[in-house]
Amino acid sequence: MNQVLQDVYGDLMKCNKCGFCQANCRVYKEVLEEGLSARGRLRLIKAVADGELARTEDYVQKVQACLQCKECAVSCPSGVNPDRIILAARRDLVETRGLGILKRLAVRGLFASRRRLALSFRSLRLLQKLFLSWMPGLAKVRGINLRKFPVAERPLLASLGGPAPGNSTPGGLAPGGPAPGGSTLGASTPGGSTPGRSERVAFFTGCMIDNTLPEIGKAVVEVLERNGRKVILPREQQCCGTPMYISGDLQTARQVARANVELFNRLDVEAIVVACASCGLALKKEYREFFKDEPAFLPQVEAFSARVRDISEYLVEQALVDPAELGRLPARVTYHDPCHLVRGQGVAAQPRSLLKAIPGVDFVEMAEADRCCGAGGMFQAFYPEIAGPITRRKLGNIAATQAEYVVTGCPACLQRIQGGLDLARMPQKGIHIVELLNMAHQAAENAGEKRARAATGSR
Amino acid sequence: MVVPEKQLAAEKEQGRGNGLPERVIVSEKVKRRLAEIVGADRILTAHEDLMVYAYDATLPEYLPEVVVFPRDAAQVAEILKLANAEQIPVAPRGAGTNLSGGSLPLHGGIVLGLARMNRILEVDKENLTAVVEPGVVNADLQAYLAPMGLFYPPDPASMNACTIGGNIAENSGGPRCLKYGVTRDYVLGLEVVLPTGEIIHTGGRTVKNTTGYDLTRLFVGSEGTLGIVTRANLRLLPIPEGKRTLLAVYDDLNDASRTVSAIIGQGIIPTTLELMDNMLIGCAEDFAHVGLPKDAAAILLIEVDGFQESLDRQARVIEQLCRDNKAREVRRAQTAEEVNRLWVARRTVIGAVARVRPSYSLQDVTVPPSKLPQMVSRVVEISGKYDLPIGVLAHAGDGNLHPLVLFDKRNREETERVEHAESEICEVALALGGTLSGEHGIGLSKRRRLSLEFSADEIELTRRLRALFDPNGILNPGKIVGE
Repeated sequence: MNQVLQDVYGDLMKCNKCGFCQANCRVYKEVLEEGLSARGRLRLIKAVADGELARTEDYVQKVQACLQCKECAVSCPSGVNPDRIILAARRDLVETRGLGILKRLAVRGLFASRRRLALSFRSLRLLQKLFLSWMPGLAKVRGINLRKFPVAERPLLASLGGPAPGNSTPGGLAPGGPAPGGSTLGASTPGGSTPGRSERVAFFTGCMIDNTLPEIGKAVVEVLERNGRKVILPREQQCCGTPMYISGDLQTARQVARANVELFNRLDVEAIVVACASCGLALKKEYREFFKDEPAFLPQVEAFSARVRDISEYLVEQALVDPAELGRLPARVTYHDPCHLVRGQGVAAQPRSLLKAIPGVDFVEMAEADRCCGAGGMFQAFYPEIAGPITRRKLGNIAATQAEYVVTGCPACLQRIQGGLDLARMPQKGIHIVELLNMAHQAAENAGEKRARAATGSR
Repeated sequence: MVVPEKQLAAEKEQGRGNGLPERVIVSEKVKRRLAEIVGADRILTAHEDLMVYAYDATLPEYLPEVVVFPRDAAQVAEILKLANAEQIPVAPRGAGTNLSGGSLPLHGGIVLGLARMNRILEVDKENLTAVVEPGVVNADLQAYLAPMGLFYPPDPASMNACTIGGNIAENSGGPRCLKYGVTRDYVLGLEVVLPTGEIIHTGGRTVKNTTGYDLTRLFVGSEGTLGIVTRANLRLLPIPEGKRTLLAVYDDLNDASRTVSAIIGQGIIPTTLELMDNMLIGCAEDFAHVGLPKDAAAILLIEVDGFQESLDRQARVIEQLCRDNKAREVRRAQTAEEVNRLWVARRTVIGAVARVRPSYSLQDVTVPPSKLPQMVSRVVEISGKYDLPIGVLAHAGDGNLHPLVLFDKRNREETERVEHAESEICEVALALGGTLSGEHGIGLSKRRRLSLEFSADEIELTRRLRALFDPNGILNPGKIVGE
């Protein structure tokens, strides 16, 4: 038995096949095929571990067609973590069969290199401009709205210049660190005392925000700065490692993770803030998994992970957002829980409390708010016939709230939901929670609510 | 639910019944014909796909030859006619959460997957009925009905996954069946495909119906041996105005079971009256984290429902009976969230025992409620006698016990002791005027004990009845009565 499967064999044995996971496995609920339920996949993985089954193409498909939404893990009475067993099986496949060509291209060719990833997004942008805009037939590829797929004019990190106004200074690396990374985006910052070291935070952007939705990143920086934090954005940061880890390519995942840990550990910051649910899960929890066989490096990983916070979590924990400083946003709003926030990190109350703090916001809870949106990383591209109905169900739940905005805390969910809304010609708008907060701040400024600024200034 | 290896070997030697070979091979020609009937996207033949239809929630596995997902009664009829002509066994299956091996394809052959026939066809609010297909998941039906102020009373612990078709086949129960009755009390009429392919209709849409034999009730609980239910007319009830949920905590298991007899003996019928012993409290709490007292010897989870005005009075009477029987604490759940979490703890406890030992075996014996204290104390004795941890879980109010024997199936000697302990549990239950199965069915895992309860004549009548419906013995052969 391959060591990777040996490691999860005890967990596999704990599955007593009660079948309760069928109630929560989103893929099973769509296809109603036992082989694509958590119970079925685990049975096959056990057969491979026991040498009863070869790693056939059918087996590979069953192991790959999982969203990693973690609903099975929450519902399992026996405490089996099918999501992690499935990841182990994917790793076993990479070790014994190698990574599939498409995934190899994606995770090793693109995500492992910021430069190549940025280049590929630039190509998509060019493609959008040249062809997709007037060739509607090409717009939707495998259920993904390519025509409107967001691509940054320039990646966020690449757009960071030299010294800039604002209280977040460029560089920001501790003395002796590598080449200075950039900061600020020139956000106007409320005046105030110079922040001490405890008020410096690093921002881990992640590939999606960096390359596709930089406005989320700008909002993160602005909201933090408005609330008296100095933001450090190390330009050398790498992909978090999730695409590789989820594909079973632990080796490449460790490469980028190691670089991130070493880079951020050199920073003198009180927290490492993330605005992507999957990046946050990786940085906070999964890095320990990545390096569990490398005890010498683990203390560094622990020190790193302990400082990682999701943006909503950080803002609430630090009590940074004062409703008195927020302007009115008269809008009906609902919230979608990203799998990797709600189940991955237990972050669900924080974004809701932030939303309810914004004056004028009429918050309506949607049905099944914590159900997967159907993105699942590359799942949506590989299994559009399964992802499509899952997304449509989400859109139906959104529509039922009659909200104008669907707020979430993950750029990947946002892309999927906005893409779905556009394809369905629905009027609702998807937005990251930190963007909405920033809008509330801007609204306060626009309304000339100097009182709010003064309150910050006198702190 | 476990069938010890020795027993399995013995059963193999005897053959699996009906004169069928141990494993019926399905020819390519028949598979092509099946694909023509249901469509190419509704048939599975790859080894990996068959492997996951070889099991249910019990331990044994039998590999089918092919899995088909018919769309309607006409396709089911075509499949059964073909199976008759070719002498191929057919094992119907819903969600595969069966606890008695009822959905296992004992002889290979065809697995008839009904999970995709999952439409709710009609809800008649005026007459409190619904028409559903067999693959509708119990909890999905409840969720559909709730906004209309209606519910379907049978609530098996696996309700989030199990199907109405499976519930009908097994005559499933659940906690609130104490007050409301079991599946058979809520099935008014059926569309059934007979094993020979005829499509028939039984019963109707009314609660009262005495026209002819009660064929509906014959099919309910027939464990997939007499026909395939393709549509069911269900009886619904309005959701009661309110409920109160009580948790009574005991330092002595016997006091808890005496409380149960006292409550029923007083003529009070709560909605649910569930008992869990110390070991299971621990398992449930470790999974569900609801604040169950892990030091208690037993708890009773009691619910009453009805009109608001009656609730506090019902609750007070029950609280007093609990205290009279030495409950150390009786508390009321304060919020809907708390109630929900208590029920999650109860519904998941069988799965949660995997935390204690790797294997479990579950019995389903049922005794008259007044005999519950005796039954519970005998189970504790048997646990000591065979040196096996046995968790006592019971839908106590209706005398339905689920003694959970925990062991390690890799340990042969221990597995043999499990077999003896369970036989003794069954004998005790029968001696107390009870039955082998309250709600899980006999299926495969209890068929060898059927003769403890049924006389030779009764078994013979069962066989003859079955042969009348299924002359070629193709439908779920080997279940209920062995050969």
